[in-house]
Amino acid sequence: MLYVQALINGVLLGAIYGLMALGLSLIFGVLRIINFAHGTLMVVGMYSSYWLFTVLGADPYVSLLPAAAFLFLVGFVLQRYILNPIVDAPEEMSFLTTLGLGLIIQNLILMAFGPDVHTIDTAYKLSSLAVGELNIDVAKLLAFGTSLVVTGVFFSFLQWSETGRAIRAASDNREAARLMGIDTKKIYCIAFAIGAATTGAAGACFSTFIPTSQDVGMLFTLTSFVIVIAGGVGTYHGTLIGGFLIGIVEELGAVMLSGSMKQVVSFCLLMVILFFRPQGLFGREGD
Amino acid sequence: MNNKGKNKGISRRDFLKGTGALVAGAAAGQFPTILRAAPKEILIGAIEPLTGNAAEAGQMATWGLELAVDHINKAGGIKSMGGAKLALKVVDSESKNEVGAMKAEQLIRQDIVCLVGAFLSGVTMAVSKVADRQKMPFVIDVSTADQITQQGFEYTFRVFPTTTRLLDTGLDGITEITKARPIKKVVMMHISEFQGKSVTDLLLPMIPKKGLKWDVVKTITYPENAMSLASEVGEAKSLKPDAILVVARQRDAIMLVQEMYKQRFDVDGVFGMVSPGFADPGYQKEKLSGYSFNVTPWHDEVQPFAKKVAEEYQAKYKKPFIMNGAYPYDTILVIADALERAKITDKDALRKALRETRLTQKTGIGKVIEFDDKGDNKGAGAGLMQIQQGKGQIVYPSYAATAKAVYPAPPWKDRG
Amino acid sequence: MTKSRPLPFIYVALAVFFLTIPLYGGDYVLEMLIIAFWFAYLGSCWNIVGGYTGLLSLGHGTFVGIGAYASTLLFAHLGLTPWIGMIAGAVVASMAGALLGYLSFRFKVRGVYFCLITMAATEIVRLVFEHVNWLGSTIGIFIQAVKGAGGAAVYQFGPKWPYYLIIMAMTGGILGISYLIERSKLGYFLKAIKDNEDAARSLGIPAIRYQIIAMAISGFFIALGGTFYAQYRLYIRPDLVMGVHFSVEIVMGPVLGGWGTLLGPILGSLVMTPLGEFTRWLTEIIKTTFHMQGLTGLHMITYGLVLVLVVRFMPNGIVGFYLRRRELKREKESAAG
Repeated sequence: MLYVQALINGVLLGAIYGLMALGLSLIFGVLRIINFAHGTLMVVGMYSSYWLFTVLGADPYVSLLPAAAFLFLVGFVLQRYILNPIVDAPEEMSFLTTLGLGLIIQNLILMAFGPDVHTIDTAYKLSSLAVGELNIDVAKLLAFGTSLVVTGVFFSFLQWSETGRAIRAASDNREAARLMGIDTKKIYCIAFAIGAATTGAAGACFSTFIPTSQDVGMLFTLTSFVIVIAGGVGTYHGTLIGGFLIGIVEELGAVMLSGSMKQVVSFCLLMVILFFRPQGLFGREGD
Repeated sequence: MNNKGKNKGISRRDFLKGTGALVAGAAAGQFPTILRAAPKEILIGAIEPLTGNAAEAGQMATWGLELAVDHINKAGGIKSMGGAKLALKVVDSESKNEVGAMKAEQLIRQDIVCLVGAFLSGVTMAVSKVADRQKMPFVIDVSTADQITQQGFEYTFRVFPTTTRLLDTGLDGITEITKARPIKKVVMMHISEFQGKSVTDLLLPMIPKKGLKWDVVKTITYPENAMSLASEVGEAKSLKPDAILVVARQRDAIMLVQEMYKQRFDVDGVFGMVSPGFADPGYQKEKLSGYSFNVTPWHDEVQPFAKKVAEEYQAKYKKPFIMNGAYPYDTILVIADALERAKITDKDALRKALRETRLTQKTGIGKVIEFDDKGDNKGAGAGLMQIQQGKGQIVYPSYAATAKAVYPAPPWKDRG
Repeated sequence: MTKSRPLPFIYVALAVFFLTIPLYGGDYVLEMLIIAFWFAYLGSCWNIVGGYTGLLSLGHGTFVGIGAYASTLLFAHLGLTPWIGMIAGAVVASMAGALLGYLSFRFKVRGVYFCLITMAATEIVRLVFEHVNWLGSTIGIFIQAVKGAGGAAVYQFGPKWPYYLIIMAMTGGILGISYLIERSKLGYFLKAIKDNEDAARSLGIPAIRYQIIAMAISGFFIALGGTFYAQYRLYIRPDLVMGVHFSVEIVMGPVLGGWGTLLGPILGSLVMTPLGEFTRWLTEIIKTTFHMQGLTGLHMITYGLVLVLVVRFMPNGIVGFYLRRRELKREKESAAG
């Protein structure tokens, strides 16, 4: 029974993980940037929800759109002024830049909100559904649903909109896209902005059941990387499935091994995939 | 002060200084003010975590220090030194050992007479090493790690109780309040980091040693910054314990009780064992933290002196006094008292005076503040605290108790 | 190519300056310089893999940790002096590095993916160490202090200056080794692999073999730095000597100063540590002058800003920037002349 419960928890978490990693998949896939600030962007999402909740009393799902829009703006600006100029520099430099950005953003949050841990007291924060001996956390269920919806929007946008197609072209082959007349610099800004927005949305979802604090960024960043690699860079449905995979693996790992070792399982999985199938579960060969 | 050139001969200045010191030493205690101008200000250096994950607590500790300095100065300063006022310089350790050590070096160069700090055990250890090397008295305000006073440091004093002392008192307290309904099965849960592990490692052998017949069915750990404690709590629930023993920080403490509620995991008692998170205001504000206990040093809520200070602190800083404020406050009292007896701001004189401390007026729970030969406070107290109606109440020991314990706790569904 | 005369003299002057600091510096300065040179040493060791071979490893903390734990455990359980224990640690670390290299390169893990492998590896090792009791777990290991003359025999000293001289010697040593590598055939091959691995391979260079050798050498020497830390602080814990966070710190110096160059890592580290102190001091000044309360975290922001700006305007690091300028100047001169 314990394992079934862990499985359920893993699935619920997995959708949010997937959404969080989707942003990174986009950024990594299109821009080839090791975005060390990814987790920090998610924290910005969490704090946006918290702030809107405190000031306007808005439930995080209600304020999801404005929060995501804010992150979109932030991402756009970051890419336009800080990352675009170094997009052709050696890859290693981008990680230093994003690391620096992460530090700056995290500490701006610290200055603005202080070091206290905050919780958002929604009405459903503590509800859960009992299904026999199993327990379904309502907050996580709502987050699960919302994540799937946002992910769906993301997919459709990429698939059917012109900008989406341009983004996919640019991620497949930078030079070719440029030759085709696509304004790559602008596409990069939009891509990063979308990545940031989806990450912010994931942050809003998390904020309903995880206390908001400014020091959780790095862990989210690492987990996102594991998910993106496991699923396959540039394959967005792979990322979503990767999210589920990691969520389940971690929760099962917590019960089978020990809570504090659950991350070891996902990292080992990452290494195995990188050795034997570096394109991830769903990526194409030679990526 | 510095290790000047080893080959330099004794300069004239050195000679005069030496003579002056000799004479001053001879007349020590009698006419110190004749040969050495009474200092107008005595500088104390404090290292606290003002950023990083202990930032909130570090800030509360700083306020405790500042309040004490303020009180001492308003009462006339150090009278044996002509009413010299205390001055405090607080620096940020950033919750990092390296930084704490460097800042300690920095402060020592700035003519402080004493070091205070450092809240986090890792930083405190690093600072202790520096203080020992530099022969600077270091009075620890908050830090429980036993190891610090087991290193043979000669300049370190600790006002705060050690983990062992805390656990000892705590277990006595739990035994007392569960007399009518003894505990049989427990699950131990702790966060996977220094505090969690070290407390657990000390606690588990202590249980049988004290003759307690508890069956610790399992020890469940979870990582720092975990995104979900659902599986861990689920596992604990499946073991059907009477009570759980917890060592957690604020973030996970909140997640823990929320998860227990959601999973309808009822226990007779949630016992924080020197659990830092249980003392944080955020946790106490959380409704579900009600009825949980914590073994913790606490401020004395019975004694009039302590009560007055607590009220002033709360009014001024809008945060509860508790241990974060009380022990730093007492640390300054200890230093001021020692300075009074030392009569000069010489480090070794101060150290000697600290050794001979017998301070009765203080704000923390416990008996007279007295240091043993390792530097630990023999009278350091601990209490068993229970959160009732959003406020922490001491339920044990009886001389410091402000309320009666409620055990077993009402089930979750009756609490909402 | 003519070497400009003034340069070697500057190096000698700097060396003398640094070597004599214990005489007039004071403990605070020594503390800062010991940390700065320690990172300079670690960064230079990393440079062999990251700079010379072009493999961005963000997991070199693993080898530092192996070194620190090996010598510490041998001392704690067998009484073996860390002077010998550190060699054992270095050997284990180099084998670990070679193994990681073998697995990665054999499976053709490149570029960013290799970077992620190293991150995963160091986190796994850190988490395992945090979990296993006899390795100290999350509490870490306190090294028994041995005071007095007996201390030197077990790599412990009372004052700071012996540690300072040791880390200076180590830094000089790794500088020498890096120089030798640069001039050797190994260095030549590594550079070829770094520039274009496939091309090098088509020329018959056994790329994997040399990459593994680079990992082994780098791991060996960086582990010695781990033992140094353990003996200096007399306390180790997984998150202090392992993990992604620490590994990233190691790399900041070289990337800032210019990885792939001889002096870049050292320059970068020597800039970073005082820079950190400077920004902290600046924050204090601002706080007291303007009586501002909520400025905690300002110096971290400044730190981050420096990172962003340096990458933006000096993407090849400080030394790289300088070298390019010199090259451009020479091109201009030869074009004009």
